[in-house]
Amino acid sequence: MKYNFSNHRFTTLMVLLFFISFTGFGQENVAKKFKMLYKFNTIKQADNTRLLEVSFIARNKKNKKDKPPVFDAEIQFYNTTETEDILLGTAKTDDTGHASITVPASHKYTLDAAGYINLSAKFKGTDQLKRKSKKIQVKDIFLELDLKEIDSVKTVIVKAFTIDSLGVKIKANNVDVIISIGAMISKMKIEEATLKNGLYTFEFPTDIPGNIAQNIDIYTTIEDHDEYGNVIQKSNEKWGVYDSKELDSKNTLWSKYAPLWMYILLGVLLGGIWINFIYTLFQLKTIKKEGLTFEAENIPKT
Amino acid sequence: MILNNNHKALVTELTPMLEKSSRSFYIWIAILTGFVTLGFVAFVIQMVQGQIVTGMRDNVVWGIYEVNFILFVGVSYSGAFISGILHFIQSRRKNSVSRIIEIITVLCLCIGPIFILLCIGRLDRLHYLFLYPRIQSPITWDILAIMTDLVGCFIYLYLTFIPDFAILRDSDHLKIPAWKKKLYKTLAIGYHHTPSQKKRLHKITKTMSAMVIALAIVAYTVLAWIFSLTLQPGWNSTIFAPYFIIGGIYTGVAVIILVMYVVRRTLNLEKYIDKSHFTIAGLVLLVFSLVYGYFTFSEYFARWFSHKTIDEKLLNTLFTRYFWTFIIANYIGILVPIAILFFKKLRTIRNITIAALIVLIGSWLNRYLIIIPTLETPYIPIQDTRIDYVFYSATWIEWALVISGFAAFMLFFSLLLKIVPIIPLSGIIESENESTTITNDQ
Repeated sequence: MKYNFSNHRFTTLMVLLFFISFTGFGQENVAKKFKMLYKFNTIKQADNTRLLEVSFIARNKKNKKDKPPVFDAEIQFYNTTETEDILLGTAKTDDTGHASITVPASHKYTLDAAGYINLSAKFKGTDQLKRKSKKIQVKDIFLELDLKEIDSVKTVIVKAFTIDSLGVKIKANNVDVIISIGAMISKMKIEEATLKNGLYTFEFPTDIPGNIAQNIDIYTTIEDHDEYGNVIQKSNEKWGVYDSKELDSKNTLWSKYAPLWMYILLGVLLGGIWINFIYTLFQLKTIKKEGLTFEAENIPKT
Repeated sequence: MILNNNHKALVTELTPMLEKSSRSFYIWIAILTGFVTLGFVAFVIQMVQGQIVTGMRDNVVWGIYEVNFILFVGVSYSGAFISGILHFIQSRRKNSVSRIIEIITVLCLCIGPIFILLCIGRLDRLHYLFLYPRIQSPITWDILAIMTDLVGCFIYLYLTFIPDFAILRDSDHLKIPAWKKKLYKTLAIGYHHTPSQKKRLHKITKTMSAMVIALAIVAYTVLAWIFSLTLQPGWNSTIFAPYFIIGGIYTGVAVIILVMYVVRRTLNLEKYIDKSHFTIAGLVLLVFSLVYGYFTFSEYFARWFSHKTIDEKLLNTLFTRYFWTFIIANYIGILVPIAILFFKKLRTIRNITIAALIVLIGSWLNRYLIIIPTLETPYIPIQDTRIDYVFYSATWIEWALVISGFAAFMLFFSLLLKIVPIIPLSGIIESENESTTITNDQ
């Protein structure tokens, strides 16, 4: 029943906030029980597109574990300038409370005087939910990841630079980067470094497992940087190792033959039972023989 | 054996079905035959058109056939277990019910496995199970266990019948057809109640009764392992084997009570199957309903408490889609019989029979809940497919075969009553002889 309640709670909140609210009921009482958590984030992706993402969650003030997502809320994403807000796109929150748009790499952002891109995500609000707005200020940075074999050494080269208003490349300094590889569920960190003069190189380990074709995804990321925010770059190379040796399963139940103890146990059990059956049948035969003798001695033939 | 007048009177009293049949008996047989025929027609349709005529699909590969299989086999093992134990109990009361239990055991064990065959899509490859058995597989263990148990139960049943066949062979006063007399003579294998024969038969029957108890436990354990050795939600449980055994005995006792009630009413055996039999059976049912309830609670409580995502999904299904089935199976099916049987004043023959009927319905539904919701809750979510692949719903073919299974049980039970007395003659005569000997000694 717990699950029903959970479902109902989620549905009730959604319905109250965005549908019945217009009929003028006092649903603000429901909304008042929740604190709205509104987060805005941007990630510059490997193909130089920029992901703008909002997370819109309601949190019960009394029970902090009770966090239903705000569903179907329209979020508008802007490139804000001193004079106007340029709409980049709109998206509605999904059933996890997330709304996102991807701005193409070719898009020309309007920068402020210091060279920052000012981004904002706005929710206009409803009768019951207050309007929400969050701003982010990032500088555009270009992160490059080169994978080269130099003198048979697998070398990872990470470069980062910005471009000024005149189109001149400026190497990024003192920027922390993380180099990781794509694992089955998440990324596995293999190196952490600070860029000097816009560059960092290191020797790639030779014992990292890849897929069956020895391919391996290598990532370099800048995470939560004060100026550049989140940036990710990705490359793929045949640098992984693949051990084709088939490991013998220790579980003999999967092997061609059953373990010996199983044959012995089943043999003893079944053998014992069937021997008793046969013994019983022999005893019945003896009973029959005794009966025939009895009949011959005591019952006159008619 | 030379029968005195008292014995002859007893034989006549206990064998009315052997001599003649009433019109209602023939109507009853005709109705049951009709149901069995309907099942046969359904079987032929399924054989010709394949499993598509059933509600079973990629996920739910076991439907109500499997439910019936577990129920019948459980009742059979329960019968074997109780019958074996009764053999060691020196009580006159056991004579009245032992034959009923033995027949239930063998009939259920004959009918039950047919349902597992109905689940198999390619019966033409059935012999592969024997040609290429995989000893590691619980399915192979189950086949071996069921076959061995079936042979064991047949032998045991036959051993208990031999003295009665001998009495019927020697009962010249009975007006029975010649073929029946010949049959009794053949089946009695020259048994004449001589001390040597008695001793020999008693020895092998005792051994066999101990063996059928062990076989019942082993075979039903193996059947439970078919479920519990998988990682499926709702099945992967360490207590599944004892839970199955307790559940089987619980259902078996209920079936015995129901059959006792019907036999007592239709054959006017009130003198031999009296209230004490129902009271004792009712108390056994009470004890097992408490134990079974405890196991059921433990099973679901552990799943609920574990908070494993897949178990949560399964429990959510049980409390939404199968809400009423769950309530009837696990609340009404357990608590109502406890309430009826707990109070001495409520323990009348009719009430005990009603409690047994509730237990039977609850048990069938419980087995339904064990099988179908689990198969409807796979680890990999089912997406973009037809609704009949996601949720199981039995077709008329399946219902026809399930009903014909119950009809076949009643039909064969009724027909067996035309051949063997439902109250063991030898047991009653021996008890009377013993009491006469004691009186004479005094």
